[in-house]
Amino acid sequence: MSVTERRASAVSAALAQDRLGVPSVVFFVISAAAPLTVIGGSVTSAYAATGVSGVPLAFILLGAILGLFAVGYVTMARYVVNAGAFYAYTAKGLGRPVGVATAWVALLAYNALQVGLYGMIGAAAQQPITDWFGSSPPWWVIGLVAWVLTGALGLMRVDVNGKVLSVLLLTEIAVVIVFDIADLVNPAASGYSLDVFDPSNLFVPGVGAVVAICIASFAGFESSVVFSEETKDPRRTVPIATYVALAVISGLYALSSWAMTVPIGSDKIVETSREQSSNLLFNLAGQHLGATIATIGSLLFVTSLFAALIAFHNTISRYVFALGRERVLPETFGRTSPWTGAPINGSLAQSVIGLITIIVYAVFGLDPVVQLFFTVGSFGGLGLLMMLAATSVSVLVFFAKNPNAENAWRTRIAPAISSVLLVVVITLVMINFDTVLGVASDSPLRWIMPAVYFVAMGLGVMWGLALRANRPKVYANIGRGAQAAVGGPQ
Amino acid sequence: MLTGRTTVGLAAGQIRLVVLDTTPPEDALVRTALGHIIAEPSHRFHTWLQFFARTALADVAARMTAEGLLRPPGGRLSRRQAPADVNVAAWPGGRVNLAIQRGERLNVQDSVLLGLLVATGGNRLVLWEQSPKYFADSIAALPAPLRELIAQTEAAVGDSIISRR
Repeated sequence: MSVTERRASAVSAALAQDRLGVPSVVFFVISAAAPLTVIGGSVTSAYAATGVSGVPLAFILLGAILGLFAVGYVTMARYVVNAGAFYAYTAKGLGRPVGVATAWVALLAYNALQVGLYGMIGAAAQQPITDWFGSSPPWWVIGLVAWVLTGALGLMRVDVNGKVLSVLLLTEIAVVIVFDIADLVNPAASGYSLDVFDPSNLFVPGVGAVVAICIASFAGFESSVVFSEETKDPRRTVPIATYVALAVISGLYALSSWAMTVPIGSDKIVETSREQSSNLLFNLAGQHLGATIATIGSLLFVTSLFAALIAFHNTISRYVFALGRERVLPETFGRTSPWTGAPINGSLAQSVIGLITIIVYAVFGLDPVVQLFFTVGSFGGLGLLMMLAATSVSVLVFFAKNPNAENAWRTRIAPAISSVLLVVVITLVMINFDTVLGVASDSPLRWIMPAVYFVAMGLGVMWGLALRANRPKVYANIGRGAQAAVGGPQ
Repeated sequence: MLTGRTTVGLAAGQIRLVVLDTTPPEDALVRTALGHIIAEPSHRFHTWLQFFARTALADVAARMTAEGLLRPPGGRLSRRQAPADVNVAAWPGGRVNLAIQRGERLNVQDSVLLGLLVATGGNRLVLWEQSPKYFADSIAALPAPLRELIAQTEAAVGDSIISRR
């Protein structure tokens, strides 16, 4: 198409009106990450459960690794239909059976990340409810209320509306920054210290557990490429938005997790996090800024968790929907509600998993913050790392197999470095999985839980091979999402 | 496509619309659409669906109102338009429903209607009986360009759900 033809195109001009620029895509990505959820919940539980004070450094290092990963990821995204799903990349790079294996890992990991939030929202809402009414119901009652609302909104296909989300997100970030400033101007008696950025405070036993919960905080950044077809300039908008979002997220997390240590002292942060759990951030704000600001903060923490619950719920129901459209999962999962257009059965399936989790944790009296939010969330983090590593290797293989005009940095060097680093990180997480689970180092659970992912991979590969033998048409469409409906060239 | 003016072809590895007959049709809406397709032949099928989807609801409603099928929008509260004659409105759906019930074959126009209902999930609202085999057979009996239309519609509906903003 010539330049003049492109300029004169009424069709392109009309469609371009709806297209997104860098700020909108950055916004979508950051909102999926829910900053207050991470800083109020993940950071304090990382300090408390791992006993490692190097959390801020972990955010910086992981942000850098993901930045390297993103170089190849956004480059390959332009060659992938259904670009928002990691399994589409592995299906193309490492073969369709590996694609199915990745999809199974994704379903496990995203569900783990989602259900973990029910524990945290239950615990987090208790404080403001007690402030107002004098007492609070148990965490699981609150968790069930959140579950009902999430499930209902999922079926009604109510995404948190773009404008509502923007207001919530900006308020969240503003609150986080105000809290940070208040922390920074009120240093502990020991003064300012940058100990938490010292590698010797991160690379200690337990580092893998820190990494698992921190990587979970980045979940959602991969969604930037979903907008490839809807951006003004796909070759620039999506990559720039992805890097900007990663830089903002990791910078904000690192800064805030450091600021939190300033009024307490980096030597006491672990102990204090253990005592105060997710209330820590808001207790500090209460001391420096007054009770009102602290209450606003803890309410926003609850809404942030709720927004994250809905975001993950929708991610999962769409994932299941895409697999149903491909017929990799039963066709019924590819169905939408005729009234609302919601991916109805994917949404219901996710809700069932959430309900079972809440009931099991309530019946066995397990701790909602440590054993649900931290442990299950970190388990999800491990799955996310596995998907990242597999995708990174897929990028390498894909560009090695397919002739292309991309440069070596994007197709070979960055993906190779990020693949190696991600495998190292996965190894660290596996070694420290006893800390993730909070069990003794000789407990068999530390091996059983990561093994669940390997079982899922094995079953996925077998399912892929079974499809190849029995349903070649379905096999051919693995990884194509909704485009599976269209045969022929992509 | 139904009137034989366009078909589907492959060009540069993409599925595109090919215009067979450039004489302007009588219907104003079809004429405008055909004009766009003739002017810019390089777009993918997919792009055309996106482009026409932006205005289709309003355009088709306006045409139906002009032809007296829909009552003009008068209500302040509701933007929904009511059919002028409920029997006329129910007839196409009724035809498809009766054919499914009796196990009869549909003509091309009704098969396309059925295919689009299935592609959009509307079958669950309109049809009394859900018979996947009957649906698949009716769609499979259509000429290839119309099958492609239905498949592209299903893909576009799916994409709008997966990459919802």
